[in-house]
Amino acid sequence: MARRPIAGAVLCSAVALLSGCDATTESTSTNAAVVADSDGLTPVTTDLGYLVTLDTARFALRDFELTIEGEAHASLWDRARELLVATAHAHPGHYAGGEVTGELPGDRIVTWTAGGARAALGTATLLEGDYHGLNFYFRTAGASDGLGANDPLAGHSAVLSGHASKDGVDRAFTLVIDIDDGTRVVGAPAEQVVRAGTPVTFGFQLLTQDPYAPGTLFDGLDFASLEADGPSGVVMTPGTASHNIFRRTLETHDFYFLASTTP
Amino acid sequence: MTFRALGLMCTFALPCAALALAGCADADADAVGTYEVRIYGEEYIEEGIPESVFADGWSISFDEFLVVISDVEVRRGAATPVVEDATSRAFDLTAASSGEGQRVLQAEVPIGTYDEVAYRVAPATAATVAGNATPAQLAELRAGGYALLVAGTAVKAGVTKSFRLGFQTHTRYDGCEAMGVVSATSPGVSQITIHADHLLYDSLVSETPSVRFDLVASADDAGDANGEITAAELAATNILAEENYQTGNQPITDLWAYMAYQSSTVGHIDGEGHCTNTAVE
Repeated sequence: MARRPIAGAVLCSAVALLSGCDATTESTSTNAAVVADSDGLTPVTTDLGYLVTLDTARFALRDFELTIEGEAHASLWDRARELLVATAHAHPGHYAGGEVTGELPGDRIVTWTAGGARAALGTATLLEGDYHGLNFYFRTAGASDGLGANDPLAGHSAVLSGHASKDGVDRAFTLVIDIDDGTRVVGAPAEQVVRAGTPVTFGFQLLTQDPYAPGTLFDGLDFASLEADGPSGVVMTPGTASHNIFRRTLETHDFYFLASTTP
Repeated sequence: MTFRALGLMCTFALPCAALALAGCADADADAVGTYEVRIYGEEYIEEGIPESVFADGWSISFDEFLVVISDVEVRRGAATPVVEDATSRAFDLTAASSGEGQRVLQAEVPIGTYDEVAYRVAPATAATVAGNATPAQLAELRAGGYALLVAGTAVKAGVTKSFRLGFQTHTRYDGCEAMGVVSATSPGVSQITIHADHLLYDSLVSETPSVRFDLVASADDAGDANGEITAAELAATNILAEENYQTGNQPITDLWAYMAYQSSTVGHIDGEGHCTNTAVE
């Protein structure tokens, strides 16, 4: 059934609020650098006994949203913006967590490399406040990302590579992941106080260890059962049960963190 | 900030400005008009969900689609509600309504513009009264503690599956983006809209989920295969290795828990207008 468009109605609401009668206060807009921060790639031992070292992870992501909790933003623009933001979350389970008051829009390839330097992702625009959460979307990497045809990430959403050792056997692994375009990760934790005039840098981390509960990024994954890839390697490809199970882990907020870091 | 959004806003601003100004001019507290809140399940519930909607070739018709609505509020922004009605009412949204839906309540309110509606979809209790639900339907809702009960038939390529599933969801829908304008001569109307297809969405996290039924149907095939899909059969269907049915942060592992979660997302306002839905423990 064709759904009735609501954009007009919502925008009307926004305009009505913009011209509302309440007394208001203005929040200050500022900027913050966002970098890919690899500090979260620590070796971990999984529930199946594998010692896993993640060397590199590359994810195709877009539209980072920074969220703040427990603070009322009373500016008229804010109220209008909240309505507009809400329209983007048109489906079940969405818009959990705090209010979206910062953003880094656009497509990005985020690369984490163990021991690697921080890589700039861009400059976020945000309001002053205490930031506690991060949302972002998965997408499929494509030609617009400048990837070569043989790049393993081309046509996929994430590629992770490293080594998994157990019982004296070391396996190099490559995990190729497809995640539906627009799949949203909601509520990755963040710790950052943002004030105008005080430069801040957000470090976007992929975590191999859940910082709040027992568990690793690779729990449940039996590397020995993956398809062989050369004499000592294994590969996980889309369309397999192990892929579908591991993908669910990547779609939770448990293994991401937005840290306060240095430029 | 989202400058594209700001540009769109400007496009719509002029026609809306009058409405906004009308909102500010609601100072005559003595003038009253009528506000009506209705509930509607759209053609999907009244006529069925056609095959064209499904990604896997099914179609569905509902024999009953029962919803229990309570705690309806209407307000302007953060102001005190002008309508507060805690009454729990049960409706069968399959009743043909020519697009009008069923009346939930009608109240006299000050003339003006009201931009927020809130309501609750909560389990029926002994206090629940019939909206347009029959006594038998009301009794079943009360007995099961259901907030939502859907019964119907799904068909695909000569295969027919029936279902009768009760959900005990308790969800508060707040901040629904309404636009009710009450004047001396015309009532303001808000329509609580129930989206049946959300129960069958194949992702909790996708911006563009598909509507699917294959896995739901297969639950009966893996169960007693008697043609009737039950909650127990859905609960026995593990979704972790499925390509679809992504759950994001939700620790959901079976199809019944998945559909129960989806049952907390069916409520909207005025068609596609959104609310903030909060599960009540």
